[in-house]
Formats: sequence, C-alpha cells, structure tokens
Amino acid sequence: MVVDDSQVICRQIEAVLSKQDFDVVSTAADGVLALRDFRMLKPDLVTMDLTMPRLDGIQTIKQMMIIHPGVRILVVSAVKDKATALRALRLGAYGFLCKPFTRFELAEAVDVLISDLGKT
Amino acid sequence: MRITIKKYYGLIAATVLLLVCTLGLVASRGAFEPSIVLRGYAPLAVFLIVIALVALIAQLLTHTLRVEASLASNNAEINHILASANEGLFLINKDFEIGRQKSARVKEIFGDGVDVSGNFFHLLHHVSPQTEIKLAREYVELLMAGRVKQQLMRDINPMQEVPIEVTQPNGGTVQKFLHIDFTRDESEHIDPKQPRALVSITDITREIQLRGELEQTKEQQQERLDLLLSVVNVNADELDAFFNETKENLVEINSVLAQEGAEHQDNVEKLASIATMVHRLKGDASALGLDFFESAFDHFEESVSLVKRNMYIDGRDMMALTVQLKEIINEVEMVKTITPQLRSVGTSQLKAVETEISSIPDRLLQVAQRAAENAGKHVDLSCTGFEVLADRPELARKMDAMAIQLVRNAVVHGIEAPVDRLDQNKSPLAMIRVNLAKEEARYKMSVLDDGRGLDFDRIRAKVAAQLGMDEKQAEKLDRGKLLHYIFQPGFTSLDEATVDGGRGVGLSLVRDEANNLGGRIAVKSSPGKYCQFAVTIPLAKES
Repeated sequence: MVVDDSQVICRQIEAVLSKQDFDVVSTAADGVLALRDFRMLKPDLVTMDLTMPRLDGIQTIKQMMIIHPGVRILVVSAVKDKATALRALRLGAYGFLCKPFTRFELAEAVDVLISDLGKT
Repeated sequence: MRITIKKYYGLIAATVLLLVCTLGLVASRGAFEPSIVLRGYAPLAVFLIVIALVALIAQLLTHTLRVEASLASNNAEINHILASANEGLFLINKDFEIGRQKSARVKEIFGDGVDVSGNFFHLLHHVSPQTEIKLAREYVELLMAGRVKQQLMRDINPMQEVPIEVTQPNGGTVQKFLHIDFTRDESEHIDPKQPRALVSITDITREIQLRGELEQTKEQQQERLDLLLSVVNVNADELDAFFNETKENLVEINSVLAQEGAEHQDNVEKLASIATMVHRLKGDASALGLDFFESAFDHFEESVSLVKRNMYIDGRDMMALTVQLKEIINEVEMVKTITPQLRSVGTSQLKAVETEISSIPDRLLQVAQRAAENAGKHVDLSCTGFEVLADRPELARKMDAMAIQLVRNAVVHGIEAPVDRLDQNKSPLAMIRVNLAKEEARYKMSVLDDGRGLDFDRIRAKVAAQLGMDEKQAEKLDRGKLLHYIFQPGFTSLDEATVDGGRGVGLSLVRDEANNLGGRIAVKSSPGKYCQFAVTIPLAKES
C-alpha cells in the first residue's frame, strides 16, 4: 500500500514495487483514505509520507499499529524535521527513506525492510 | 577464544578406562587370588596411565600456548586497527557507557582536556551543549532496540553535523564539526537484552568549511548574474529614474553622514532620516525586481539600526556607515555605466519587460511570494482595479509603491505560519486582496489579508517597552492611541528584523506618502480573521 499526497511519488513507488513482485493493493493521498483502505485490506507493507492533508503520517501510523500491528511501514519523506521522522519510527515504522530517492534506493530500502521475512 | 575439549576426548577416554581397570584390579585383590598373568599387567597399567596423563597435560599445555599466541596476535591486530583508524571508534552498551577500548583518533578529535569515558551523552553534552541530547538519545535507543532496520535510519541520525569546541594546547579554542555514526552489534553471541553499538566519529570540519566556501562563491556569482539579468529586464526609463533617484538619495545620505562635530542626539536624528531614505530605496529596488540592490540596501539598513542601538553614537560609527555607503554608490555607478552596453547585447535575446499598469498585479504577487518564501509562509494575492489609474501614471507608480509596502507588511506581520493557520482551521495558503477603486471624489486602495489581525496586546507591550512605560501606564493606552503608534517611524512589533520587515519603517512611509498626496490611511481588523489597510487619495490633487 502506498500513501503519499503526491501522485508522482505514488506512481514512482508503485512502479518499483511492482517490479519487485509486490501487489500494490491501494494508493492513498491522505491519512483518512489510507486508513479506510488499510482496515479492509490489511496490507503487509506500507510506504508512508509524513506531511499530508487531513490526517498526517504520524497519526496514520498510530492508527495502523492499532489495527494491524504486524504491518511493516517504510516512512518516505523529506528530512526537514528529524524529530518527527524519529517519532514515526518510535511509533512502529521499520525504516526511513529520504525524499527525493532513486528507484534503486527505494528497491534497496524495501529489500532491507523485508529481509527477515519470507517475501509475499 | 574458547578452548574446545572435543579433540581430547580420545585421550581422556583412554586415561579414564585405564584408571577404572586399575582400580578394579586393586579392589578385587582381596576377593580372589589374581592369576600371575593379571598381576604382571598391573605395573604396565600404571605406566600406561602415567604416560596418558603426561600426554594429556602436554596437549593441554600446547593448546593453551597456541591460544595465548593467537590472542596476542589478535590483540596486536586490534591495537593496530585502533591506532591507525581514521575514525574515533569505541563501543557503548545499553546504558550508553563508553567501552575501554578506543581508537587513537578519539583523543585527537576531542582534545587532551576531555576524558572520553562514562556516559556517552554526558560527554556529548559536555563538548556540544547546543546539540539536542534528547533527540540524539532517542535515536540511539531506537537503534539499540533492534526493531528498526539500522540501514534505514541513518538519514535521520541527528548527529551528522555536531559542532564542538576543542581546547587547544595553547589554551585557545577551535570549532570542529563531527559526524557521529552508530552501528548496532548484530553478532550472534550478543544477548539481545544487553545490546551494544559501535560509535564511529569522523572529523568533517574541512568538508563543512569547503561546503560553506562553495556556497558563498555560488551565491555571489548568482547575485551578479541576477543583477545583470534584472537590469536588462527593467524598463529603461524606470531604471534610469531609479539610478538617478538612488544616486541623489545616496549622495544626500553621504552628506548627512559627513557633517562634522555632531553630538549624540544629532546623530540619532540623522540616522532616523537615513533609515527612512534607505527603506524607500529598498522598496524601489524591490518593486523593480532588483534583488541585488534590495539586499544591499537591506544590509545597510541593518547596519544603521545596529548603530542606532548604541548607547552613544560617535563619529566613528558614522564613519563605518560612510564606508559601507561608498561601496553601494560604487556598485550603482558600475551598473549604471554598463547598463547601456548590456541592454544593446540583451535586447536581441531578452525582451525588456514593460512595467505598465497591467504588470502591477504580477509584480505585487511576486513581492508577496518572495517575502512569504523568506518567512516560510504560503500566500496568494489578487489585485484588481489599478487600470482606473491608466491616465495617472505618476500616481499609479506611487500607489504601487505604497501597495508594495503594505503587502510586505501583511506577509511579515499579518499572516501566520502555515502550522499556526492549520491549528486555527484556516487554509495554510493565506490570501491577500489588493483593490483600487475610483469613488466619487477619491481613489481608495485597500490591502486586506486573512491573517491574525492586529494584536493590540503585543503592540501595547512594544509601545510600552519603546517608551519606557510601566504596566499601569501601558494599560491606559487605548486602541486609538496604539493605532497612532503603529504608523510612527521606528515602531515594529517584530523582535527580529528581516529583509522584508521588522524595522518599523514601512507603515510610516505609506502614511507619509498618503499625506503628501493629500490623503490618509486607515486600518480595520478583527483578531484572528483579517486586517485591512485603506489608503484614500483625493482625485483633485495633481489633476
């Protein structure tokens, strides 16, 4: 599942994940839409932007960890505010990828993220 | 290194077997009479046991020696690594206690006076008080906890550029920058409850210096390029007018500065009039998009306001300003001289932008967005009605200049930071509406922003502070009086000046200009909702 308010970023991430044999079950432009789909779909992996309209990444991660604590969340954001990024990780995200990123960096980050799991 | 007993199993088993046999023989002696054959074997068995024991001891001894030699060689290697590593290296445990082994660079990095031991964050706080220890600690805790992938945390390491003061042997201090990296020890034998991390510290002072120099060079080049481009882009007549006015003003400022034998009070008054002139020049430069001069005047304005804060202003202070002013005059002269040449080259590639009335809305939007960018705010601007001044180009120029001051004032003072706006359920994108209308006997220009409105408490506090009033006196100031003060030169509600505002000149300029044109300025505001400045100018004047 890809959560980002930029359609360009969503498409980029989707392309990389598809190449790595992931099914992108949903893309959402804000936290509210993300949680709606997340409840139904319970995805294994989520890439999450932090600054989004309506419900920001931090609040969304909090909710997701309650709904499905097993989810692996990769925060994908620009590091303007390290404290917020760190907070996202403390809340349960597994890693952080800095925007802007290359396809290679994203693919590598996803590999690391699921390195101790059987790939689904 | 652990001693493995496995390879001695054979020897130990043989020895134990022989021992058991011998003991059996000895024990059974009283029960029956052993045959001569068996009796003859007893000394042989004892002999074999002794041999086996000796062999066992010899083997163990050789092994111990080998282990010791290997340990010694490992230690030598570790010492070599620690002595020659380019980074400061040491381990910290889960309580952030620094380990005993450290690379030689550690001492070099922190200097002789610093004891690198005990709690790592106490050390960090000691050498770099400005580093946010809480954040740094949270980062290391998260890394030690092991859940988050450490490869995917490095970007948010808050210790990538840690400034420290290092005391030198001669007693002086020098500033250094360190990059402190952490790697969780993931070896198998580490108890997850007792995690530890390798701390590696790199001195990046040189990189930081180079980066700074590079950025500065880039900025200077960019400024020059922008200046040349902006000059070509400005309408020739307006540019000439700007150069002439600027030159006149600067010469005037220079003559004010050069008057001799002035006392403190005279200097204070001189500086106030200089500040107003420079602020006007800055506004003109900004209106023409001449960023280079805008920032030059801004620096000069900053210097003037710094001198104004002095307890006693003497000739030397004024002299320093004169030197700075000379540089600006030289720049203006230089650009003025090369402009005709530039223009002849430029016209073939760059079409000069006509600064007609139709371009006022775009320019105001640019001014607003530039000021917003500097202040980290978001703003949109709509501007209507300037076409009613199509037959009054001189007045249009003056109205435009006033609108620029009011728009900058709105961005800097009126509009809140995007986060604050979100907190109040407002759109992070603020709105400024500039409207000019021809009414019966007057022109009315209004500049409306949907920001915080006038904060009378803050204005009261500032007025009181600037006039040296106590709280009781300040409370007596009613809104009418306070409004009077916001148009006074030198009043500002900002604590810190920026290129766009905070020196308390903008509103007084607008009021003066309105008065010169026979008009007036009024303000309306609602806390948290809006603030509107309205300038009204009678039609009669000038026509």
